[in-house]
Amino acid sequence: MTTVTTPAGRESQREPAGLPEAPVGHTTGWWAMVLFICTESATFAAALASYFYLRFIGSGPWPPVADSRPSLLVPSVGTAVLVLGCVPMGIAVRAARRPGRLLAWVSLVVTMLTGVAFVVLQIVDYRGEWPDSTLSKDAYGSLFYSITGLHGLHVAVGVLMVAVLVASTSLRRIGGGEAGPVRIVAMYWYFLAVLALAVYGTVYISPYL
Amino acid sequence: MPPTTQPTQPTTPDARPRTSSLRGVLAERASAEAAVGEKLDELWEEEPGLIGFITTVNHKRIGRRYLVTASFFFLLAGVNALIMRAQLGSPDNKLVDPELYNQLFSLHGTAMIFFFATPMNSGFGNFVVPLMIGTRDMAFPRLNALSYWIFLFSGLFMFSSLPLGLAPDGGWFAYVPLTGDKYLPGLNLDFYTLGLLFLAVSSTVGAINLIVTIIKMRAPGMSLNRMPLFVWAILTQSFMLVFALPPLDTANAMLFMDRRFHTRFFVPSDGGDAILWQHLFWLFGHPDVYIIVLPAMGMISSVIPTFSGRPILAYPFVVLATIATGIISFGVWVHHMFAVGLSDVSLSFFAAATLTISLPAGIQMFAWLGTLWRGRIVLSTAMLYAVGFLVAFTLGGVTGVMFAVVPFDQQVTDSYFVVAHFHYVLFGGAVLPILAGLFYWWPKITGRMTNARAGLWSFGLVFGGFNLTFFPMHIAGLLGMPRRIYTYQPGLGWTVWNVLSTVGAFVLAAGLLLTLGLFVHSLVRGERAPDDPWGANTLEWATGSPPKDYNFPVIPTVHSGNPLWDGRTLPSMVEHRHDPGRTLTEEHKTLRTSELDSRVEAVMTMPEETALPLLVAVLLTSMFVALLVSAYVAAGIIAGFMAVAVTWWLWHRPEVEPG
Amino acid sequence: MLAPKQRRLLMALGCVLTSGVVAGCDRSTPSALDPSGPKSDLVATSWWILFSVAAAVCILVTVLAVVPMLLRRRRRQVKGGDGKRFVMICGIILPGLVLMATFALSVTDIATDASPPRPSRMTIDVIGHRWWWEVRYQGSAAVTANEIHVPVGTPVQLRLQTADVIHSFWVPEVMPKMDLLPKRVNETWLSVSRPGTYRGQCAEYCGLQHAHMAFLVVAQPRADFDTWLGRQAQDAPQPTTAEAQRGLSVLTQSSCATCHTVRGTSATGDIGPDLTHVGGRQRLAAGAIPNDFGHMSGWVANSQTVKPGNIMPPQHLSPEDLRAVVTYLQGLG
Repeated sequence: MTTVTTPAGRESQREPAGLPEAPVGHTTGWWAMVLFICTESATFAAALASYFYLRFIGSGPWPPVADSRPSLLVPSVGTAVLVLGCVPMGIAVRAARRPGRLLAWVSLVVTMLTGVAFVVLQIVDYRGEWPDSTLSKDAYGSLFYSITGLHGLHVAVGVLMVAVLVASTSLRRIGGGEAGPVRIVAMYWYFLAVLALAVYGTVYISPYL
Repeated sequence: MPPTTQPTQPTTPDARPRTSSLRGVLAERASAEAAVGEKLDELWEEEPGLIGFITTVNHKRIGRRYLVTASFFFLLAGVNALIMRAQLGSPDNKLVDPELYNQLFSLHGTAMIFFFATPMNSGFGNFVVPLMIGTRDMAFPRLNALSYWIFLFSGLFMFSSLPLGLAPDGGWFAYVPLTGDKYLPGLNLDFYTLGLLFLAVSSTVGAINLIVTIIKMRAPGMSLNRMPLFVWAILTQSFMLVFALPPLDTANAMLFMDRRFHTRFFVPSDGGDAILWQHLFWLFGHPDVYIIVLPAMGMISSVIPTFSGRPILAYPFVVLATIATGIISFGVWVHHMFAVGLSDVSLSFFAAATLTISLPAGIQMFAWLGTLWRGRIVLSTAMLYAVGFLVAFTLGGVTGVMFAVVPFDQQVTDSYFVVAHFHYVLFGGAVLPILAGLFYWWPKITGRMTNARAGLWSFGLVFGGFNLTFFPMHIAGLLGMPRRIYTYQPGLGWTVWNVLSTVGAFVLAAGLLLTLGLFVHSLVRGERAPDDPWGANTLEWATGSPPKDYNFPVIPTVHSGNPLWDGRTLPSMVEHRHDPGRTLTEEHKTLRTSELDSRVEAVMTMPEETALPLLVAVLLTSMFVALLVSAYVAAGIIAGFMAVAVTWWLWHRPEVEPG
Repeated sequence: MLAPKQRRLLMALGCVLTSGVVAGCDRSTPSALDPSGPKSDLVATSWWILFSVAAAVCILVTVLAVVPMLLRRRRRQVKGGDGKRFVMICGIILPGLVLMATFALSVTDIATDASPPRPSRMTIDVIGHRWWWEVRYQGSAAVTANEIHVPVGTPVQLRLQTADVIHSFWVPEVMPKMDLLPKRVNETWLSVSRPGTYRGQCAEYCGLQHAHMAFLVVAQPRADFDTWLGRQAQDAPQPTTAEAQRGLSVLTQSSCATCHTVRGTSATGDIGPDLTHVGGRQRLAAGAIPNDFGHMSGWVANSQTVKPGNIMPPQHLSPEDLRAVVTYLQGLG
């Protein structure tokens, strides 16, 4: 008969019938988000790998059109804003565990605004790149717009998620000790920030290396 | 996640305790049901009639639908194959023109891989897994319904291309640049890229659902080291889907954009590359072989111990072999590309990887063989198919090992030898086990027994027809016949082997038709099935045949890896029949347990039936149709509606758990 | 009940064993097991090693799977134990040894295959088109289609390229496959050890007429080859009869010349095959039909009936013009 010993040294396996007083452990929703992030990571891995593959399979300069390396200012600001957005998100998670909803609500709104700012800055960046580089001019342009566009789309979805959290907090459905959904969305938000760094490093920085 | 401790298996497996039963009902189930059955019936019963049909979220109904729908697509893709075999039955035949032939083989491969084999496994996973792990439904029942509807609609989307004369015609692996808009204009390849992206939504969601179900909802006491091998197989397969589908999706999205928006990913003259497609495709494609075969092997690991009357040999080895297969399968994709002119270093590396992946298969093979030798055999129809699998899969496996000898691979790749090889792996390694699984779980799924004598004929015709169809293809390939040719000239020495294959294909079709008839006959006039007709070892047999809507009146405590043989798990259902923490009779509820040890963590409230999944699936379908006909604005608007629907869906979560 | 199946399986395996022999008698079968060059020799040798091991494994597993069906049904008690040692030995150690041996074979074969036994002195460019093969001899003006002549016993360097989609170059009796990829040149070598004609075919699906994209490799003694190459390098011979003369003018003045080249005339199209010495080729339309007066007339009049979807449109020539053109082309030896 198997016995699994807990750190406290108690035998816990033999009679697992009893319910814990309060629910413990990760929820199914938490796991679903972990797995969703796994599959999304694989998608971006495939996209970024394609970027480097196409860059190094040809022997010519990169980008192929001379002096058309992406400008750095706008995307740098956008990426920084998105990464810094993790701070209010983290505050929101902590605040949602405690009674009172105001802090959670405010930090969620700030988080959402960082996401909106990122998307707006991305559009500004596109206007700067066009028409020197377009989606259909060469493989470089196709990669540039599709990778950054895919990431921007993900941020937009993240903004929608946070917006739902803001609404839920306003309606007192979550917050005040009810932090599950905030934790799950926060995980996705951190993931977006990590992706932003990966995309930034690949699409904006690597052509200069 | 390897097992944390040694598995516990009865040391005297021959002492298989058979509970006394009244008209086939297990005494323990009867007693548990007497206590709480009525109340649970009321709670878990779904709307009858049409409304229930479109709103159901019950994993058993959804599982059955998966099985029926996937079998239907199998039938359609099988008819494609019969037409192809008829065309190749004689040289210079003019039965079908090259245009149609190329569509037939492309659709045949695409449909068999994506719309039959993978969803068929999902069907078994859906129906069997929650029963096997002792819970009442999947972790996300509404998502489960969504996966099914998307699968159905994407399959209809894909197959609708054939009557329109626009079926994909670039082969199932759709190599660029042939599949670019320059060489294959028309909607054919758009059906392919969009259809597969569409289906991928279903497969990804379904895989995540199965993983969460398996790691969070096992009955108390079913620690990972007691988990049935079929569940291990489904868990591994689902993880593989989570990581393997993204490269395919990426490639398909790129191809779609190349064709529609003139991006340049695969256009060599503008900095794109044709080999990129092959890398991305096979990075998905090779794991996909095991995505199809692993669950099938899991079925064999269910069938063989039951009909050998003893637990499987070396359970931990088989678990590790399953996981190892899943991991290594991501490192062998280049052996599909040995003829593209790669460096000798990559040739040698991927040859070694290819050899390595046959080791875990060897482990499982000998675990099954040893189980047979140490067991007491009951030669049921399911067991016949299982033994047929052992022989066929070995043959497919040894020819697979041959491909690791790179010059040999270069000689036979893209010839009929490869066609023979992968049909031994996919028909022998997946369809035969799926048939074994169907015969095995049929009484549980339908509540009816099948005719054993007819089963013998079914097996004889299918196995004979299968070998007659595919064995000669080895020879045709060695004699220089390339694959995917719609006709060939006489006098090349190929005719006789093609005639044999064609005859075999029709024998096989007859066998499959007979099998279909056998199942229909069973539904109409079959004997009523008892709860546990085979004296099996796993939990699904502790439920009714067919199971009640709530599966288990009392969630049992699992005491070993062979719960129905340990003499303690079944009685636990009686012990707990007045424990509200196990009967959960207040609402639509089931237990959430810990990932590794299955300790109870919480009671989960499950959602009621709803038409939301169908609504979202219909919206998604219209979005893909809009993309197909280039109505991009409409597609964007529909995507907006979908966002609203999904928000609505998440808003109405059945519970808000503190975390 | 499995016994007959097992027997049939063995019979089928026997068929493979004999098929090589059978194919040996029938020269027209492009059998990989009847090799006529060092590359395919190597593969055939490896095949028989692999085949013996594979057959042994299949027979072993079949016996192990079927015998319990016969012997283990009347048992009272099953045997206990979890058989880890059995699985360890039969499932890991034994297969491991076999697989390591296979890897050794693979690496040896890769190394042997990498370079020709002697340095090659001649390079041939093979360019794949949908659905035919363009063949150019470096250092010579010779351009031909769907027929590659090589000197017997001499390694020849091949440069494989494609003008459109991916194709794959395969001559089962002489060399395994090598793909033709866009924007890349795949270099490999080929050597034929016996004089003769060997059938090759495109092995990568390349669209509608993938089935009709064959070619011939003709291995000739050195002297014959040199004569052939010398002739191919020359311009087309002048027509000697009135009929042929008329054919030439029809060819140069009709749409033929926009797609085809006949060196030494004003026909310089570069879409279809070079026709300078078309009369000397064994087959037409990438192996689809024999090269004789009747077949060529049918092809020129309406090639779509023979090879639907190929890019040569039907030619609306008068019967006299058609006869004249075909007479001229047949005369281009």
